[in-house]
Amino acid sequence: MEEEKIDQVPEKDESPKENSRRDFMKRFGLYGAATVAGSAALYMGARFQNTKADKDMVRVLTADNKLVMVPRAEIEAAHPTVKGLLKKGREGIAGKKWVMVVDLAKCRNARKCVTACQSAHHLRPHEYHMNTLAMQESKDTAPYFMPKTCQHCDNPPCVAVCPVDATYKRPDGIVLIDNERCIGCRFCMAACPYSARMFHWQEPQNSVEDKELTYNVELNVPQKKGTISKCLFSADQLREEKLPYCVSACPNGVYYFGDENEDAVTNGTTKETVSFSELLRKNAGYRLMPELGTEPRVYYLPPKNRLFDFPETSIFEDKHDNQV
Amino acid sequence: MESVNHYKTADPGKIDRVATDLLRSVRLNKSFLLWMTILFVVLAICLFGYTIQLRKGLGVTGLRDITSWGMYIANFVFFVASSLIGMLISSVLGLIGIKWIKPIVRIAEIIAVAFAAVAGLVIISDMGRPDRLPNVFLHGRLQSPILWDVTVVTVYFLVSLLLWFLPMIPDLAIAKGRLQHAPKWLGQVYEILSFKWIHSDEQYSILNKMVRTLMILIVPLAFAIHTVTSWLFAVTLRPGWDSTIFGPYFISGAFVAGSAALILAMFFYRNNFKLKDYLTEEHFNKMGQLLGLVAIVYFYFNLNEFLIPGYKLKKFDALHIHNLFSGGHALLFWSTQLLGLVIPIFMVFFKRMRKPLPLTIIAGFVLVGAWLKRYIIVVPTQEHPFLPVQNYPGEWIVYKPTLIEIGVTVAAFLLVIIIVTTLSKLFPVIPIAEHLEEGEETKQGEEVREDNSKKRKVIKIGKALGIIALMMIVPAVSYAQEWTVPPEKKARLSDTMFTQETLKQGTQIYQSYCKSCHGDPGKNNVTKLVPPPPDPVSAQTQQNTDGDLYFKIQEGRGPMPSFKNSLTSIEIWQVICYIRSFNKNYEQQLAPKTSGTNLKYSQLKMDLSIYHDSLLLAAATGLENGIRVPVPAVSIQLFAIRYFGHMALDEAKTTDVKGLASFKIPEGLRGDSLGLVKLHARFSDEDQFGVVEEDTVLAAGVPVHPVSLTAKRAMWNVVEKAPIWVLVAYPVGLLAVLAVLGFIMLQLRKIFYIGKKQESK
Repeated sequence: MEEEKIDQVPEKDESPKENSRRDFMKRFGLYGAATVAGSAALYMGARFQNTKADKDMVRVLTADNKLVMVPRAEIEAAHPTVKGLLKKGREGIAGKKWVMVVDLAKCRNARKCVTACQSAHHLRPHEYHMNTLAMQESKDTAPYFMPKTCQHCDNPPCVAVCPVDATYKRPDGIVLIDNERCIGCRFCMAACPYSARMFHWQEPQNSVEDKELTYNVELNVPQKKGTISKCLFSADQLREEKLPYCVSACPNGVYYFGDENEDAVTNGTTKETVSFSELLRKNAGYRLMPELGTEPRVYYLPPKNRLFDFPETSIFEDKHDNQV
Repeated sequence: MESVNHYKTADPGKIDRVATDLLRSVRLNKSFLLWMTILFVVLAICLFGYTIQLRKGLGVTGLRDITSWGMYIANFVFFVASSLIGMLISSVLGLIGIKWIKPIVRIAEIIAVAFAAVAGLVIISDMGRPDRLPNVFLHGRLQSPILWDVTVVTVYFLVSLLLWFLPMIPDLAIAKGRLQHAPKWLGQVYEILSFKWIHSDEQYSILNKMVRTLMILIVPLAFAIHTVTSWLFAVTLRPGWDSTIFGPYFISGAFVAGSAALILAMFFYRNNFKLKDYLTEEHFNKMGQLLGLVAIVYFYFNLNEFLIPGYKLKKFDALHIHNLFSGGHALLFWSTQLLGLVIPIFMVFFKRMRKPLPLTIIAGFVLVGAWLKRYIIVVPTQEHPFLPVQNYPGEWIVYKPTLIEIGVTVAAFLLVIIIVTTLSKLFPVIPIAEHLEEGEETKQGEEVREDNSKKRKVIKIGKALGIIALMMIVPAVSYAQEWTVPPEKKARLSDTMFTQETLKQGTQIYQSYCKSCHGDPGKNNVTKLVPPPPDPVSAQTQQNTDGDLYFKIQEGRGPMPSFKNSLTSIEIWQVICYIRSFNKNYEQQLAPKTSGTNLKYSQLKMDLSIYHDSLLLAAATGLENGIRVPVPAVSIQLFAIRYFGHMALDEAKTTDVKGLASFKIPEGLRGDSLGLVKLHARFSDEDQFGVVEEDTVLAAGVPVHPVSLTAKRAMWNVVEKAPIWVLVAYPVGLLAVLAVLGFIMLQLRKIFYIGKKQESK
């Protein structure tokens, strides 16, 4: 019942303003809405704000990809940007070749990356775009924690099997999902060797609150029931020259992120920028399951010289996972 | 199927007798209506479950992120498999002239039609967004097996329907005036569907041509439908699915399932439709032999499918094999393999077991086994992905089908039964015209070669590895010693007074850079590292001189990162200010103003240039008494400006007497397409000189031409980049099938006009 009430309020508000909005549109063109939106500008941080506080204002993504507050009545005018966002989301960011480096020596399973990711993408606690795993190669080797995002493979098995081109590889390396097109067959989940994908088995979290948001293919918000979702390398953040949500949330300096074309990656914690190739060379960087030929864009540095306590028992003791 | 016109040569008495026998079942009697009512009521209940699924999403099933394909997909594979029997019986055996199949051909086609039709619906029940089904055609990617699967299932259904219907046209004509129990409207339907059939030789010849064409066409179609279905699994990398023999493995298994379904249907018709003279014990005998043959072939593929990975025991294959052979699915696996395949093979060797009742019971086991086998193929593989399954609630990990899921699956079976019942109650199930041939019974049946000397091989399974706790001793020794700061650095002091503003800035920097390890000051919540990071409030921290703190923050050691490239000196002093705010006894000492070189110069600046292609020179100058002179002994840092931050190039360098500092350009430093690099240089000691920095663009790097990662025409790329052979194969194949169907339609028209011409005479 509550759901319906919330739905109806904006509709009633909108109808009398229909004409004035049309005039406005004529004068300023389709993207004029972005200007109006700009005048009400509240910046990205508003994403995490409680929406209930401002009932007449709604957060939308403008054509230039900024999240701003606009009057609820203007929400229709912003619609053309869905297509715009989808188009931009397919083109990617020119000249870039994104790459991530995960330093396993530093991960102590704080899971700040996981929660930051879930809050940015409006996910529930067990819905993972990324996960941290307790790993152990064999019973005599040291256990370690491994953050696992989508590997954004250059030869992505998920993209190969998608029947409708809903999941695709961008020129800048990111693998994205168009939730407006996905038919929910889950073939990509079956194809992914890294278990990187999740499915909206039920109505997504915030599905009521997010109803008014313009769908952004680079954020997968609002999330859509019956479709796939997964790590996007925070494509929306990258446009704003910001590091991905997980990378900047890490308290332990685990993540580096950057552009392979520039040969530079920036640590999310210390913000230090280092040479990507040198980092891999000096630390014997590797990729997950290279034998599968998926060519991931995520690199790992081995978990050597760890400087924090690790659980003293082998993870084999109580886990029925596949590591035997 | 023979072009001979048996109707013309047959004795009219025989026609009457056969037609009466075979049309007796065509009636909508009470038991039929009752049966259909029951089916529809149960179907409605099951479909109610589907409406819940539509409303709430696939979450009402037992499917979750780990096992995301379950009963629906298994059922889909089973349905596609069962439908293949139409092709085997009517085409393969028909084309090579096997005679005994004549009475069961139509039954086989009914099964094919029903299963193929419902298979298409079953796959929709598994979709997260069934409303977006049109996307498959609007945005279809030819590189995905799904588009092919949807296409081929549809085409296979249509061709099977034609192969059921076309040979029945003479029967419909024979039935004219002989339908005693059926309602009137059915007679009219027969009239229309008989296409003015007059049993002319010409019509028989045309019909024969049509049917033979379709019989040939359906062979590649049937192979395609099930091979493509097997590719839904085989094109993935998952152990258990990643198999090159999945195509033939699935097809051989399909014949087993279909044969069993056919035997069950035969038994039902024989008894309920009183067709003991037509579906004889010999037919069951032959079907028993056929079942044995296809089951042995399937067993052979099973042997390969499990023995080879079981022999090598590659890590993940081993997990899968262990899981099936001795793990959680062992009971299901062994009972399916033994009761549904191995024991039935042995049973059908005995002629006594190929009598109608025993063979039907065996077929029942085989059919149930065939369904469970699809479940075993689909589900267990997903429970063991390459990476461990962690941080999920327990009920998400192990797949258990829910009531709704079972209901929707039952609904699919009910639909099959409804279609089968309808087709066989409205139309004769055994060809009448075919039966008019003299000396019907065949003597030279298929001989089933049986090889019971096949040795059963046993796979040795290594025992699961023992579980031993592993002690992790973290090397702490190297960091136990004192952290010594060089004396000249120890005495370093800030030259600006700490203010409220400094403290505010310092608090912010601490929050984002330091707190994660050093915790909230005084709250005793530092991160457990070795050695433990000191709390800012602690004496251990506060006993440091300002210079100590500055040095330690700047340089870092072990777990303490170096901030020299990410914090400016002013920012480091701000953090120190914050740290000192927890020390009541602290009194700030300022650096003596006179000691620095900073007072000597004004308007400090830097100029960057490239020297001999391998060095970058920074020339520091300042105004001394109004004259610009070189500034010696200044530490300068050089950075390349990157997308997310500044990347240090070389170490910090100190200027010589000429005010010059030279930096080595790292080999292969990447520039833009012209080799230009945005550079940033700054004086390290901001507290001495204030902020002195310089941004310049120089051709210091190698040219980099970004290449789109989707530019290549890969094996399986986006639509526009699909391999050319795929782009050609699909439309050509589809057009070929459509051309054949068009040909069939033209031939039907011909038959119709032959009859019409005759009529008008």
